[in-house]
Amino acid sequence: MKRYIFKRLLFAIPTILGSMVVVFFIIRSIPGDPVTVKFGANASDEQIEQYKEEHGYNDPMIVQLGRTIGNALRGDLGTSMQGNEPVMDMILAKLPYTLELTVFGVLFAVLLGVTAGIAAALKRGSPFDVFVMGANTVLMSMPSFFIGLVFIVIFGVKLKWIPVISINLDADKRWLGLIGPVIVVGIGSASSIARTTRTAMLKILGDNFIKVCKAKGLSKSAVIFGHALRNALTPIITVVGGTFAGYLGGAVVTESVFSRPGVGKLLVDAINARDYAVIQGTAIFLAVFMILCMLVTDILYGVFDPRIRVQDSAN
Amino acid sequence: MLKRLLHNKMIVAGAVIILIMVFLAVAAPILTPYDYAANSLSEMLNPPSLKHIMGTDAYGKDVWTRLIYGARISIKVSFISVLIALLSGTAIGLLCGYFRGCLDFFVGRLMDIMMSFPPILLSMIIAISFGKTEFNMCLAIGIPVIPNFYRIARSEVLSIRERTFIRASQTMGAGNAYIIFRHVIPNALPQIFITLSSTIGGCIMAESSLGFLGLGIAPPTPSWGAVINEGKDVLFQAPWVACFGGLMITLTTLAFNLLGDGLRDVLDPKLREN
Amino acid sequence: MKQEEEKREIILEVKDVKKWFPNAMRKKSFVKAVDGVSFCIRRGETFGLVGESGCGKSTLSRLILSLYKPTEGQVFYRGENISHLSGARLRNVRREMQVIFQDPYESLDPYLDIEEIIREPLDIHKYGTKEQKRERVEELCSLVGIPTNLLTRMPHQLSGGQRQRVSIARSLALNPEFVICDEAVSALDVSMQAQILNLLGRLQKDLSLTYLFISHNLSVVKYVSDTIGVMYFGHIVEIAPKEELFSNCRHPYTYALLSAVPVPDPDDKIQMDALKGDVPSLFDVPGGCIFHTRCPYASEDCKYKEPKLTDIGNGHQVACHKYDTLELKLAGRRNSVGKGEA
Repeated sequence: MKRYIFKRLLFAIPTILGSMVVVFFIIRSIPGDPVTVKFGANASDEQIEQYKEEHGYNDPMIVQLGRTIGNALRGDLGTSMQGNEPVMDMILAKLPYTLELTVFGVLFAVLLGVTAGIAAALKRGSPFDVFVMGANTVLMSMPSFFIGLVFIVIFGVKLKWIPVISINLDADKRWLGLIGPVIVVGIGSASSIARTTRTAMLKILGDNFIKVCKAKGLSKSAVIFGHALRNALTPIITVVGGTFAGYLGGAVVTESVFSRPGVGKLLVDAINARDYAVIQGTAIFLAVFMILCMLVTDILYGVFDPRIRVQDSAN
Repeated sequence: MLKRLLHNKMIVAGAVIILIMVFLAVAAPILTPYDYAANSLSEMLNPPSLKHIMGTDAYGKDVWTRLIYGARISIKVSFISVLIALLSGTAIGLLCGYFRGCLDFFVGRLMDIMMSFPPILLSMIIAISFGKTEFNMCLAIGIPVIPNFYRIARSEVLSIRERTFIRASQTMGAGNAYIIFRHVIPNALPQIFITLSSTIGGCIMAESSLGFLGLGIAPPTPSWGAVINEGKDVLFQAPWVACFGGLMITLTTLAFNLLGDGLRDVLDPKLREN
Repeated sequence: MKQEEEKREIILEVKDVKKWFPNAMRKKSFVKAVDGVSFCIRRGETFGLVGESGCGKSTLSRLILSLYKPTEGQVFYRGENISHLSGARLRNVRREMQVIFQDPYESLDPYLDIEEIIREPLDIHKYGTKEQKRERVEELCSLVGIPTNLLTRMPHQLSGGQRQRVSIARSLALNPEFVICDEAVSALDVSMQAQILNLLGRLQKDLSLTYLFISHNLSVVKYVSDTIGVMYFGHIVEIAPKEELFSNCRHPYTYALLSAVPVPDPDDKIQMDALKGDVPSLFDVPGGCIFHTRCPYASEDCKYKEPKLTDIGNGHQVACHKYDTLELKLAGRRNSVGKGEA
């Protein structure tokens, strides 16, 4: 087991470094000179040159790359070009909003999805099953911003049940502002989770060893939770892990819709303002986070499915 | 085989909707009297009426018109994006799965890095790096989904390659190229088609998401994403703009997802639920 | 006399061939699937290779076909060393040497129709025009007993026996001289087995084929073979012409196998003490004689010294330290060989 974890960690490192390199080069290929953009049309050439010298923009690419990576590993993700604020601080300030959304979103999605999936699998072919599957397919086809907009219009404007803008609320009302985004973000993933759960459960329930359990006289819930669910966990963990990892950057859209000051919104604003330092720093942060999430997912696999542990060490 | 495909309700439903959308896109000029770029200051933000069945936007442009012309762009962009991802991802996945070795290892690491980016993030970065032309949009949407095809192609090849009929061909003296084209690709096609169908749906959504965030194709070109972007700004006064836009996107994505599901039911022998 | 000499030509010679697979679980140790196998097959004969599942028969057949390269040792086809050939020369050899696999479904590409399947070797080696290929395919069909209306069908529409006939037709397309039947009838039901075996026999006579017939089923091997080789755990323990093997077997393992073949005789006694214990693990190969852990006659010598295949006359070879001292008679059985016994 320890070997498995260690191997996974080992593999994660070049991936992290690689993503930093990729981000670095993609950012550098954005047309236009970042420094000129920062200073605007009124700056003199000398000012621009001086800034470049000071901040190392004239050094060869490799040196710049090395510096970026070195700093990133130390937690320094650069400085914003707009306000000279360290990017890392900006991210950390907004992170709680995004994390809130992510954690509750995933919880909601998992609870709803797994329950619906198990129920649908058990009542296979019934109107309930058909309804759940139909709702799934439709919800999965809806872009999250559409769900968000519809949600806002119905519940925020017409029914006035929840506040639309969530930042300026008192602390005790904050959870109200969370409901909308959580449901919006969660419902799309709840659909994939429900689907995966249902398929996995159906497959396991059809397996011979379940018949053996029933023949042994185990109660229905023991069969479902003790045996079937545990075996169905692997694909479910995949989806959940992927969802969690994707939320962080992917909640971009939802944060935009609900005007939540999260990391995603930070990124979009930076893109619109052409603040390359923030873009680079945020991109690196999100990518590393995603890799770490996938690492945790892989480790969880190993915990729940012994076959993966053994198979992996045999390769 | 064709009969089985046509009997599946989901495939038929999906295909019908797609055909309708394509028809709308192609026949756009005859389906609307308006010009998609024509402003009409007297008719700004009109709710749906007989004259404008989906209402007008902030500049008086007819929403229905913009949406069906937008269908052209959105569908075209999605198709091309998927094609880019399909051709490159499948080719790379095939080669890696068949030949293994160093190639497989390094490409695998590269793909890991690509997959470690939240796709929207990658799309956004590519979109702003390369500029706002249609083709660049295709790249922005297509490149992040290359790993989807890579993964499927590779896993299919890995299992097909061990099958007895491949061994039989080798003992007959067949070369690698012959085996890949004659045996491996046809056997891998079903899974590739299934992936294709679900990915197009994702690409349509991605295109609209990018448009929503303001990173899509520049105005006044109508694309569904652009319509949504405008609709978001006037959401409270004129919700119909965003809603009808979202509806079109949802329907089309739904159609492709249905098609994909139906294909999976028919073509994937492992999913034959008894 | 000349025919006799021709008959004696060695088509295939396997010389001390070993195939060791690196052990994924433990570094520097190997799974020795084939560990020093030597035998030869003469033109026109059927060499039956018999052994339990996991003894290395399939690995051996892949080594002969050059699908695996041997770790040590050589394979000679008609005198030419084919163990490390590649490219065009290997392709040429592959025209002469063909194989029929066990699984009649898996050996055919589910996405090709029967005609395309049988035609494939002709396509690969650029046989001739479209019409010539078509003619040849039809010729092959009548040779193996497939009605030509099946040519447009897909494999899943045919029965197991029909699919195996398709495999046979395909392997004969380029007029090979040597055919490996790797458990070719094991996946068929018994009536079909008999039909296919008879077909194979007829084809051998009509087309002057040489067969290597691999099976775990001793009754089948007895029915078709001229010479039989017994394989255990990567080693050949005994080789002999059929009659000689059945009347005068010298290796305890062969004896155990023979005594396990059911005989429809109520007076037949089962030899319960023929074998002890279980097949050893692939990861923990016994030293000395490969069979000593299960041999009821094993002595100290057997634990440390590996017996080599020794020629004891009459075309009979055996790998046992005690071959001349053991009395391995199958008590109470008629040992006549022939069609009645199968």
